[in-house]
Amino acid sequence: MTLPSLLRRAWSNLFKRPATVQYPFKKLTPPPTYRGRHILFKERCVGCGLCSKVCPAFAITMVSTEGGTLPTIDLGKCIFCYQCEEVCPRGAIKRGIDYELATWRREDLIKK
Amino acid sequence: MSTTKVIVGPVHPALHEPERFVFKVDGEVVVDVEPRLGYVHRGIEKALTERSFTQGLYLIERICGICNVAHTLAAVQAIEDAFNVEPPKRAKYLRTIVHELNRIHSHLLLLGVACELIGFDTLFMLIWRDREAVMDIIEMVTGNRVMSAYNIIGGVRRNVSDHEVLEMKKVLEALVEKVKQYKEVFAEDPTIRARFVDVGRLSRAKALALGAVGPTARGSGVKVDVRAEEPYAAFDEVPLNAVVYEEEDSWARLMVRIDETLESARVIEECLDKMPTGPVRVRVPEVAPQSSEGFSVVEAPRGELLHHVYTEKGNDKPLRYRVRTPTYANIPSVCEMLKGGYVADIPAALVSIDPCFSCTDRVALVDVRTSERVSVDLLTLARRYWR
Amino acid sequence: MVEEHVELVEAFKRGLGGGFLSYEYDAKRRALKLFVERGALTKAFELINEACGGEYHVTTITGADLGGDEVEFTYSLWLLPQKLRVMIKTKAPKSDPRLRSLVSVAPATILYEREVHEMLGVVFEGHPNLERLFLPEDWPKNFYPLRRK
Repeated sequence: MTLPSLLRRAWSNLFKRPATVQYPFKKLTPPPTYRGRHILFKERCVGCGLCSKVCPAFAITMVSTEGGTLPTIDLGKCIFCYQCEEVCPRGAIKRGIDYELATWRREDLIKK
Repeated sequence: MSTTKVIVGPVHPALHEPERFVFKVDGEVVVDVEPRLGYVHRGIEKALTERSFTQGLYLIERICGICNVAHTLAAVQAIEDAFNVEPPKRAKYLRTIVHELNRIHSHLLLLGVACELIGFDTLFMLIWRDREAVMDIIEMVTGNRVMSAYNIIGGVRRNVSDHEVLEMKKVLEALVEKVKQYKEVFAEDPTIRARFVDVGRLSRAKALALGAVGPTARGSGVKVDVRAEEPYAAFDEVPLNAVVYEEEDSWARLMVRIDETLESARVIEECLDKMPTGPVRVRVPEVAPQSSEGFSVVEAPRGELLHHVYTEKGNDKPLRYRVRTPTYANIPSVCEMLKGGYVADIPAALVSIDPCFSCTDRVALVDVRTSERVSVDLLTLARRYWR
Repeated sequence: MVEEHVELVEAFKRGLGGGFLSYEYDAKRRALKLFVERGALTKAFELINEACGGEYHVTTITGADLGGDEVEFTYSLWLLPQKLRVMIKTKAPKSDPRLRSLVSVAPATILYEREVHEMLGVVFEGHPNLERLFLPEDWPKNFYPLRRK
């Protein structure tokens, strides 16, 4: 009969730690392959605009600054697919593992 | 006959999109069912004709979150068929591994949700805790727990290291032990049997005539499994046995899914052992090299999924893109299986087809004797009639 | 092509005569494409029914407006005994987009015909309930989203 095996597991669960990770007090680190917040190497960017053209969510706009034309990523629209990283000819966009992206205002999501 | 519109609220983790059924009842027995689809119609087929192939791929991935690997796999296979491009061998094996991992997580999700629906919350929590291990290895391999973004036209986006292979094998071994225990529970537990056996009867002849696919058809004795009959990716070298049950009720459909989980774990282990070395991606042109059509059929967790694309030479956007999802094919079968059953059995029958849209709709009950209409949502239905 | 495929093509030639236009076999995908006239569609399905003893599965109906003055339809089928994928293709002119409904022959086509009707404006004669499926009730009439201009 199987009922005893399930009861045994339910009983032993009483003495184990809960499986929930208490988030704000204990933070899990995702694996290195995780697709989180982008890391932009501004000195490598040449302003070609390929990242903006290929973005499936239309989240990247090229903005002229005194350092040249740089991409600005709207994290509210971004789907974190990292096609921009694949297509960049200079490796100026890289994958990061930061997942804490919440802001108070929507405008702050547009990463300068 | 206009009923009120719908709660979109995700009250339930497995029910995603709204749908409305109008049941005609005689006392407690359902006499007729009329479905009403289209609440989450997003115009995707039209939107895909305005996006390039790679951009469209990410939209296709979001047609369904749980089956996202099946959708991207079918899409890249169809586009590769139209472009006449062959992906490398190692890529095919990696695609198969992630495809089967996706299936395991989807089936475990449904089994947990089916238990929750009948009130067996302990088993729901236990199954979902074991499912977390699968989500962790999917995150390790593809970069995200749900939206994998792993398949791309010409191959896969990331290679897998030896350390990751060992990790996968460890997790799968532990998982298989647990799933075997769950199989015993589903087979013998009296509560589960009382709620699922003889509920939602769908005869083999009806299943075939109405176009049922996936575990809905295989639970009624129809032996159709795309992986076994029309092998794709690495299934021609790593063959798979289709799981068929003859009992024709909701219990059979759930048992099909448990056995498929065990079969998928076996296939993944075999793929990990047999995987050849080599490149994982080939370069593909941006624009279509010829005017042709490509189609691809894969076995999503819910059934047979078809993608059909028409390309035009020199155009970087498809001319026409057609997606036929498995739950769409199962709707006529669901209407058939609900007739003749009790009102209280409606959710148990619905959850057994693994609906990829939310059935937490407004369900309107029309009593044929008094023509009185009562509007009630599914969760209230569950509470009022069973608990 | 193996013997079963040849048999099927021969049965189509005999049964449909002039209605059967041509065929193409895709060896990589094990798929047989059969091009027929739109009037011969019901008979084509009856021949398929005979060839596999009723054990066939209708996958979907794809309607495509490729920019010309015709709409192309593809009926994807899977024949269980022969383990063969068959795609029956037919065309209808945009000026007269009508086809016979196949609900009496193959009940699985009931929802697919409704979708092709609302997306491309094709009328399936004999369909029991040709209403809107996905588009909302207040969508303008005679505006078919998948037609090209």
